Amino acid sequence: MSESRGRRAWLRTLGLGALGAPLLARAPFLGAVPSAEAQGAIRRIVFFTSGNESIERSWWLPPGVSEASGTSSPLEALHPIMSSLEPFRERLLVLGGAVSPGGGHPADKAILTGHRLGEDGGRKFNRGTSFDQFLADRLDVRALVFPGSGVSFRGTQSPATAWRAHEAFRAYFGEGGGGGGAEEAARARDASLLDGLAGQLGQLRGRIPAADLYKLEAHLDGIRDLERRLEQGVVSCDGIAPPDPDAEARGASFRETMDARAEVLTQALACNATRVAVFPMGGTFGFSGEPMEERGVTTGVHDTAHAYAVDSDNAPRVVAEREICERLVYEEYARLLARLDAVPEGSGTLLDHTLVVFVKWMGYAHSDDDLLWMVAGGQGATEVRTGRYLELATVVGAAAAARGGRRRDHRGPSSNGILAGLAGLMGERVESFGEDLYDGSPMDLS
Amino acid sequence: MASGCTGVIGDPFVSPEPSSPAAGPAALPARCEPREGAVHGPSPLRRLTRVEYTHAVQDLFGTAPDVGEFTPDEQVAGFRSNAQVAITLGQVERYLDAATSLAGDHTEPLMAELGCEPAEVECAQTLLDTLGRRVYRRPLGEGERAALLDLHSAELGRGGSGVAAVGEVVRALLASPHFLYHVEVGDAEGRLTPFELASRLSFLLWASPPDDELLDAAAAGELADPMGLSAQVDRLLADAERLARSVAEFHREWIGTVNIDGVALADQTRNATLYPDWTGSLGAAYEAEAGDFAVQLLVHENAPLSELFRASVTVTTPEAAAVYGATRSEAGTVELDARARRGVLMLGAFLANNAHGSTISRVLRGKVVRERVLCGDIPSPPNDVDVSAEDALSGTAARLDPSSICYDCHRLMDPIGQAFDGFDAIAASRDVDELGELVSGHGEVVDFPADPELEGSFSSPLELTEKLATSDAVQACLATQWMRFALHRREDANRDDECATATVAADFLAGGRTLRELLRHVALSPAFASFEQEDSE
Repeated sequence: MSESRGRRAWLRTLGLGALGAPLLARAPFLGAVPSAEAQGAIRRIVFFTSGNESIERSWWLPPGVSEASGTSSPLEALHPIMSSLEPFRERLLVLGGAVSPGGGHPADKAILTGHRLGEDGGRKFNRGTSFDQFLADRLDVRALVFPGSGVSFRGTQSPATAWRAHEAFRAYFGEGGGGGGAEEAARARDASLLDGLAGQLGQLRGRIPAADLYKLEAHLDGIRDLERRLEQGVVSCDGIAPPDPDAEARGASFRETMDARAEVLTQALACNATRVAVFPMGGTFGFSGEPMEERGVTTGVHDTAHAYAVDSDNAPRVVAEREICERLVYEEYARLLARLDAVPEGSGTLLDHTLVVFVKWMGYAHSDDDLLWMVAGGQGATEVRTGRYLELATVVGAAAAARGGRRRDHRGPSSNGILAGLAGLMGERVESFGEDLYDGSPMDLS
Repeated sequence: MASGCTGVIGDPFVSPEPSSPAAGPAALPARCEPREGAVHGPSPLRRLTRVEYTHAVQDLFGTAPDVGEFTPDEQVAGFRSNAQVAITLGQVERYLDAATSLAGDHTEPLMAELGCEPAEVECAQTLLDTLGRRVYRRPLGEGERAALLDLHSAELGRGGSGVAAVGEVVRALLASPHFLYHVEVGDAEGRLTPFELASRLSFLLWASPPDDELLDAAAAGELADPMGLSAQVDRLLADAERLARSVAEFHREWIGTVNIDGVALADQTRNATLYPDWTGSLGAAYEAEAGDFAVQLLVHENAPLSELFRASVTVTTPEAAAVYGATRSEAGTVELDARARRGVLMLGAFLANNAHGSTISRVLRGKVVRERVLCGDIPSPPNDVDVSAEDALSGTAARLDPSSICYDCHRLMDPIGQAFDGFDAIAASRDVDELGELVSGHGEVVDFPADPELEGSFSSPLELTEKLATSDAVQACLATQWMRFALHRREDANRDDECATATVAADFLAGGRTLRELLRHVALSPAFASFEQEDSE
């Protein structure tokens, strides 16, 4: 099957005018749209995610801060492993010690939903809508989710679509092509097809069990989304450039992949094509094709995390390799911040009007506790106060800490409160977020 | 740092205490008389799996599509089945992309085959009678035909060519939910309609949609007649080429070629220093071998199922053969050294898939045997278990300490898993384990009441697998696994399914114990042809 042919043929009427300039990955984006709305209010949020955990607390706790629960300390320095983030230190809010609703690998399905996982015959699944999708619905935008982690859900057992860079560009900006009669005909053809498919799905409603309706609804959502794109066209924005469609072909390098995604993300945010995004740098098992052996990691990202938990007391090599992995994660976070900060917007930059949230879905040793969260950006607003460390956890008793031998000596509040707090910063105040079992009332991030 | 399995019961932040493990069935299955008014389990709306979609397109057009970008299939009852997770927006678009591309590639050849003028409505009608019936796996209703013919005439009205008009119909057929989903509505008594039954049969036995002959039989009412149904089942079972599709897929899924985190063998990594021979192609070879080994044995040689644990001839690549210390023949077969390696549990898929980057996993190997071969159930560990350390070889003693919360589960797994300590994380033989200890391969099966003969210690993996090969309870478990594969649900959630499964297993044990016999029992089981009709909207 010829994929490129199919992609060109399908919805080819959605394009802009002449596109096709090569992507200049690190060039400042030229198409920023300064607007009064952009000034003085946080308008966007991006979740930067990566797999595994942030090692143990001693590897991320900023030097000199108080570990007294609820205490806010100035962020006068960062842990050396986070040196890449030093240029953004004053624009960072570091949150230490929250607890996730999930633990272990499947916790990616819980961290943004705020619900414990469901289980069916040993298969674990998400329950509820993830925060990014919840917020996107509130803001009436479509969240831009890139592949690499399974954190984003439209509802229970309904994963959100993850777009690769060129797919995302097409979804938000179209993919070019001419105009005229041929395009009109193609548009009419596609509209007829979608209309027919929607009709078929509608007719099935009365024939299948009510318990299965969510599957039809999800399919219909997809059809309606395409119909909307046909009817409304796509976002028009000067100066955008599509990514090289091969940048994410199989075998593309980590750098090419991440840069292409960052570029599409930057364009989508700057053009107001979306206000919510999920930007993973990889899942539990690696970083989108990065050959970690060349960086000195011999066992793979995931096994290194396990090996550290087992052997870190005895094997310096394991410690060194673990550090390499985590240092890379912070470097990528910093790289994204820098990319957004390079785009002028209003009197500041795109980063000033964007909250970039650092999320991992596991705590040390794949646990559910003592998570590291970070929030960067948002200086265009007054609500969020950065340049500080906020201790969330309480030190648990020695007996509990010693139980099982794991370095499990901090327990904090649910991460759901962070999400609820972020909703408020985005202007969508909620009383709580996530499952009632947890305290999901908004955490004060100001 | 301790490397045992640790957890804190009663912690308010984590999941409740895990459910108890089930060691396996309590007894051998016996025939079970179906109760009057039996109501079998539900049949949820299922989307085609990647394999089903691939075979469907291959049978329609003669070429396999690229489904590499399709979302991964989920697992239900241990096998791939898209019965729970809803479709994503992106997958909807990918289906449309695929339909557009396939229509573009195949409409003209189709027209040449049909030999009619594509601009004429009769030609489009012929297409619906032929291709349309194969795509929907049933004849199209009048309303459905009219809607598709509207697309044809609309395209002509826009000035499109006849081929373009037919192409729109082909595109719509391939993007239709009637193609992409298994839609089972049933009749008033909760039985599958003849076309639904035809579809179920072909997807079970061929992992593919029905051919014209099976659809004709359904249309003629032959599947409602036990003789007619039986004849069609026998015909499908006799088609070795298409039977092989299903048998290969079952065995890849049954033994597992995707690890617990959803990473396929071909995409898994190994410590390059310890395992310089590991490559993605070796992983891919192991994946393919898991199916090809079973096909050779059970389809082409018609051997009894017990041979799965004994056979010493496999079908694989030279690269994999070299790991086994063997040579591949020109015919593609590999003769293993039967004194050291034999059966499906000593092939690459099982051994390498249940390992980590640097180490083997006794736990995972034991878990697969306990669940897939003995039909036990091991619950997931609680959230706060230190899974990082859980699987280390050095943690075996801690896991098997009766005072540990891990004990109840791990006693059922680890002593079985250690049978395979003599095979490393890429399935090569070894004498010394990661801790520098000589491996022995001894172990123990505890708590398997369905076959007390299987319980007790063994001194090598060969002894263990020979015990598995001779155990009726293991054979019965294989029958149960095939029922789960066929029904897309577990039998133990419904008493009538449980009854039907017991009968299938008992009948299988009473016969020649070949796979074809087993599949015949499965396909003719009442649980296969009926289901619980749940309320619709």
